[in-house]
Amino acid sequence: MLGPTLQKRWDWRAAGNFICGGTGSGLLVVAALLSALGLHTTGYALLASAFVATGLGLVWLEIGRPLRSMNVFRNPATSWMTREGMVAMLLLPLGILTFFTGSTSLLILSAIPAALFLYAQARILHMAKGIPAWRTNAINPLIVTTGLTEGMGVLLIFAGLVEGNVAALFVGYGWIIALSLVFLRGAAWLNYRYSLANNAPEQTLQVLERANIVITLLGIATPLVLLFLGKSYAAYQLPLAAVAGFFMVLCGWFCKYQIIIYAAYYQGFAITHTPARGGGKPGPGLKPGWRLPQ
Amino acid sequence: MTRYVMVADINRCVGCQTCTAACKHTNATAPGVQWRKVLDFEVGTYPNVRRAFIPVGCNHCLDAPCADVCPTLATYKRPDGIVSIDYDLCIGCAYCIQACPYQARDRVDIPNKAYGKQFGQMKHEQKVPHSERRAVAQKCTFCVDRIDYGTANGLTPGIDPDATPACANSCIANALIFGDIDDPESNVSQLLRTHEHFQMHEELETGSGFYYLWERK
Amino acid sequence: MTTESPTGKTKIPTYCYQCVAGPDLLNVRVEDGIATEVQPNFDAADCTPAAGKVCVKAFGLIQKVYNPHRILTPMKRTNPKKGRNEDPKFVPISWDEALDTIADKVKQIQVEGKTDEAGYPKIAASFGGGGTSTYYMGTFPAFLSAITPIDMGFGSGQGVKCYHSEHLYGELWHRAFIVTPDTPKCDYIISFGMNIEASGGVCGVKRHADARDRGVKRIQVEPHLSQTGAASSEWVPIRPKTDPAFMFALIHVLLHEQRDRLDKVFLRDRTGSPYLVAPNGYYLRDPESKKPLIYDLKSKQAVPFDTPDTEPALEGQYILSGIELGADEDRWEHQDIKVTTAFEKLVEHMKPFTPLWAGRVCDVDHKIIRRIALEYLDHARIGETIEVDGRTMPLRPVAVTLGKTVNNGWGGFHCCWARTMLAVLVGALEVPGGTIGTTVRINRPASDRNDSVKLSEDGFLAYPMNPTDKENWVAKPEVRNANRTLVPLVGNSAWSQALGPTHLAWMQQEKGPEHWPQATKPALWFVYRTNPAISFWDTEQITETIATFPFTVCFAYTRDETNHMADILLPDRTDLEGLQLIRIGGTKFIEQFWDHQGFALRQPVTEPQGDTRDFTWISTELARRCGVLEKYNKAVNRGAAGVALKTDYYDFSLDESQAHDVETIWDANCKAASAEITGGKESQGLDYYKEKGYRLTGFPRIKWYLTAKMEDEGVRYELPYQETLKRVGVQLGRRLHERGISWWDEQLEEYEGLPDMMDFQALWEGALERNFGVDISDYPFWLVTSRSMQYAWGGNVSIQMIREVSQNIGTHGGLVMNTGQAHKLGLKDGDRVEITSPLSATRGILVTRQGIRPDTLMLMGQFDHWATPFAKDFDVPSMNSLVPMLLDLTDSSGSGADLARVKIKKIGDAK
Repeated sequence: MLGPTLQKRWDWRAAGNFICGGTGSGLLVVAALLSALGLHTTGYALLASAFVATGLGLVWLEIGRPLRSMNVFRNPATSWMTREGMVAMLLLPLGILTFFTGSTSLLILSAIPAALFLYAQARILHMAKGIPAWRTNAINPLIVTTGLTEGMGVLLIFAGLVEGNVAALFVGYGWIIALSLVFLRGAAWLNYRYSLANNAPEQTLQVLERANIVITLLGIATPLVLLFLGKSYAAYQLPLAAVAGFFMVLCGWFCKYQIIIYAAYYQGFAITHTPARGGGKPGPGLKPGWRLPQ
Repeated sequence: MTRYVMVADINRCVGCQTCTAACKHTNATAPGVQWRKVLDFEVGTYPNVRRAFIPVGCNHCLDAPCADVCPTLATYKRPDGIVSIDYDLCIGCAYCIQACPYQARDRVDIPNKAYGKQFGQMKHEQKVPHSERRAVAQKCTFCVDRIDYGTANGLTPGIDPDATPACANSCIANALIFGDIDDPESNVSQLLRTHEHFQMHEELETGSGFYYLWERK
Repeated sequence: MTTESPTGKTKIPTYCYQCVAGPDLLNVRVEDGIATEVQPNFDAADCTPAAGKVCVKAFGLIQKVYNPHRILTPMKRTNPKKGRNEDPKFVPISWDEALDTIADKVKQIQVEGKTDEAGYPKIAASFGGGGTSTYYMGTFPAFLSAITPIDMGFGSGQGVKCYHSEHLYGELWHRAFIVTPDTPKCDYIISFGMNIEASGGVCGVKRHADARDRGVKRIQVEPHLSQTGAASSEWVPIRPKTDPAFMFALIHVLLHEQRDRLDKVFLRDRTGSPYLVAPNGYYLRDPESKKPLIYDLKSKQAVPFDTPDTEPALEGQYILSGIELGADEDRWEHQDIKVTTAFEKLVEHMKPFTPLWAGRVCDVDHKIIRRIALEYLDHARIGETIEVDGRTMPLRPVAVTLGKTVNNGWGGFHCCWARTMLAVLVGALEVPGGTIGTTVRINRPASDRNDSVKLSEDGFLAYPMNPTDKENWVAKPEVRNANRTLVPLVGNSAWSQALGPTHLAWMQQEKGPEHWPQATKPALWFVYRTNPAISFWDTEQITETIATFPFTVCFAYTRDETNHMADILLPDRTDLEGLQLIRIGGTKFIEQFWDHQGFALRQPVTEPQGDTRDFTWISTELARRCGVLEKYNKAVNRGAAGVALKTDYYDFSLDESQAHDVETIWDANCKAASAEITGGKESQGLDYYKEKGYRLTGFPRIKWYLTAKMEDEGVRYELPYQETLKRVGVQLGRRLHERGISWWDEQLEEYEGLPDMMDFQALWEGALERNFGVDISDYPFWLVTSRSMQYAWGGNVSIQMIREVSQNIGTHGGLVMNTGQAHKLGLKDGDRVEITSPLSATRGILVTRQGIRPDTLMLMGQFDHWATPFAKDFDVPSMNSLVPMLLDLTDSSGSGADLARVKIKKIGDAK
């Protein structure tokens, strides 16, 4: 009871928002980027919007007073949740419009709220001061890079649906971008774990330690190998890209689920001194559940 | 200016939980929800062990992380330092619960039934149902209605019982002391001058309004 | 703008007396007739030591009223078979049927003979809460007094769970049924297991917090780190039941290393230290007056102790003549024999008990023991004085306090004696800052300790010892626990039956000792606010015994383990629903010594639930139906409800021929209270008290201490030497042996001039090995218990809120074990374990803590419920089912101690 306890208030529905919202917004940004490189990606805008909308829908299911949900827009001054909601209100119509118009310009335009949305999601976790696994600065690059990587992953999975996209990916910079994203997310993950070392509850570190194996193997190594294989074996580019994309998405979702549901231990309670009782002397304090006394 | 804070003299506290119970009565909180409670700390290894009782609850922070994150402005900082919740605005997103490093916040979605569903609500639970608090964020209010009543009627919060939070009123060890830290002559200011003190999680820079006295200077 | 205070518009004053550390005053906030909130009564902030506040237990009272598990109508049992596994099949009945059934039983007993073939009362009654049930049972004592005799000796915790040795020896030595530091002035307290922060109530907690704030140094000597240890300056983890050795070593240091610094004036003038002890262990006396002699250093001769203008010798041996009066008619005439002052005997006696020796016994560094002795002496400020109510008195701000298991059972006598001696040696007994008593229960009058100070022929505080001489010894026990027969110290007051060896009453139901009347079952047993099937020892056996009682009437709040065997359940009104006036203030239990005294009213704050009835209504109706209305009314008029309704200067007495309603009875009591408090000038009745809640007048602080009275009357404390006890013991032994009884011989050994040290741990181990045929090394742990502030005495295990807040205290969850020890045994926090004593086994969750000795386990409170709603789902074990009732472990005062030897086994992993 004294040491950090696991948060139970945000369940799979909240995690679902970070998963869907991150993937969706990441997808829009990546799609816009790749469209600038010549790929046909406006079709992804609908899928991206659907992801984002699903995430927000899940949150709506979780809040205590859904009928008052419009109040969420009341605090743009300091609340990243308000900001997330506001940019979603831009992102969704723009995304849908992009899909129906097939306009690359609109796609690029909608990438702006998408990027903000993704950043807002990162900051939502970052501002949750009660949960050391979230409040670290390193959560921001992690959430952003994984969102983008997941978006890239979705794009790869469905790349075969549009003629020429797969080949274009491996010929041009798309391949490099995908590799870079996997690499950057790997670096962000390392950075995230490094930032928490000795700076988070023991149990948080244990959860992340366990998750590390999965993320390193399936989230970093596997897509890297598959993408290199794709580069080398053109005949298998479609399935290789799809499988690489699958692991890029899966790893991101796994990572966020771990962080939001399992690693999210509260700060816990701590004292810096035990009191001098009567004529006695004071004593040392205690920070239960943390690896090092802070 | 006025800033109301709580001071806990942990030399005096014996962990009896009278404040916990008094708070539960005054605020009719749900079973399992304690806006004020006293933790039982054990520090050291046998035989060099110490045990300390630490009252906790909302710290009414100056830089309240809960208010910053609240998307609805339901949680807000009053000019007198009290962090309040407008239950009618809150959407129950629970973001503030995650933002609070003092685990001071709860959300309860069902009516109070101390003996469980099968026995229904007792008469006193029906009498003070606080339905406005269902499914939204809740936490220690510093018994803000008493503070407002007191200041409107010339009473001194922390001194006059009708203007003092229930926990401080009830504390049988006089370990919980409430008052205005901006008034250098107030009870709390004097205690802070004469005692060594700490705030919980000072490193998080929340500007906590909850002080723990651990030794007389 | 003035709006209504958020603390509520309607606040009804009442009191909480759920534990002996009360009473405390409170207000209940009421909204449209529903009680919603308990609040302090700040009107009483300046006139009560608790500052008008109540502790956590009082906050349980609102749920207590509205608890859905309450019994709300009288019930009768329809299954004649009784037992734990028998469904009683209670069915609701009318109050008429319930009361007539009981009245028929009472009338039958009155006609056929009030005592049975063994000479025991056919009616028995057990009340809980250390006497506090009286403050909730209205006029029931008046009803009981109308149907006497009643056997009150079936204990529900008395003797085995109370400060038993302290009660008896405390009263003997300084009118201190309860002993306490004068906390408001004390600077140094050595607390042996006294868990004052959990059992001292609001007054105790507040006073000790104030004391800590001004820097009091309290040393907690205890096997585990209790709440009190937590709040102490230092914790000394001592081996269980070795406290006497620690205390003897403290005395050794004072006597053999610091003798010159002791309070010799106090020792000389206020104690029996200068009395001369003759060769047979009795005082050397003057042949003419038979008065004990002292050696006068002025006249260089032995003179009677009360000779004016003498300078009694404190130390030394002298060759003198005189007589020695022993037990019965024993008499020795001495010519020029060597006699020794009592103090000199003490010095010799304590010589072997060095800190080094004690350190080994107690497993405490001997340097710590010596340091504490010296700190104690340093803080005693011998020679300093203070003015109290205009009188100059010694100021000795040091005290020693004793807790349960330290001050009862074997070793209790030693500890009580040593504690009192530690006060005596520095002159800190009954003086400001020192060790004082707060209440009397065996001596009279109970209302004022000072008035109970009487001079004995030998110059000591006179004591109403039960007779042990041939003619007057109560050879045939009057009640089943044989209190007056076996324990001279219990006296013969209203409390004496409950202070007898109460477990003897239970043990004999199974098998009585030799040459003893066969114990019979009470034909009618009343039970109120107690649950011996949970709160006594060997609870399985107690439960079986209760099931054999033919007719049991339980005043019942909810179903519980004792009323599971009842024939009739009577639902009385709870604390916040009934009406009663009680005395408050003066000096009462624990640390309740006040600057005021007076009366407080308990009144209904809300509509009573269901068909529950006020206790006074029940009592009056029972009296009427039993045909004892006149006797009952007489008792009420005499003051059985708290205040005499007629004295020389007022008369509010009730018509004795009529049944009076509840309000009429308490209105008369209120008027009498007003008259008493104003010397007959005023006579406000019930309405006044309903509005104000209480009424107080001053209580002089000088009365907190016996010193003034002792000095004025020239009375001495019979310390260090125990001539009276020695004589009583020899006489009692002779009486018992004359009847062929030898099973009390070990207890007789405790009647000593100066207590002989024993290996108390070995005593426990030996008794368990003998009685259960076990090898004690198979049971490696000592099991102790600790007070739960949230639960103790409250009868509140079925209150959800109490359960909820008590969980914040880490040691409430189960069996507490040292973390390191658990690790060694491969156990971890949360594991499910079986705890086995030589008697039985129970199960629970392991709670690992650093603050407990590795050789000791601790189970807090008393749980293990199987019938009480809500509590039966706790899954928290109790030590009560593990502790046997054994004659071998019963001391001479008739008490035992909460101590067991156990082994544990893991039976499940932590969830």
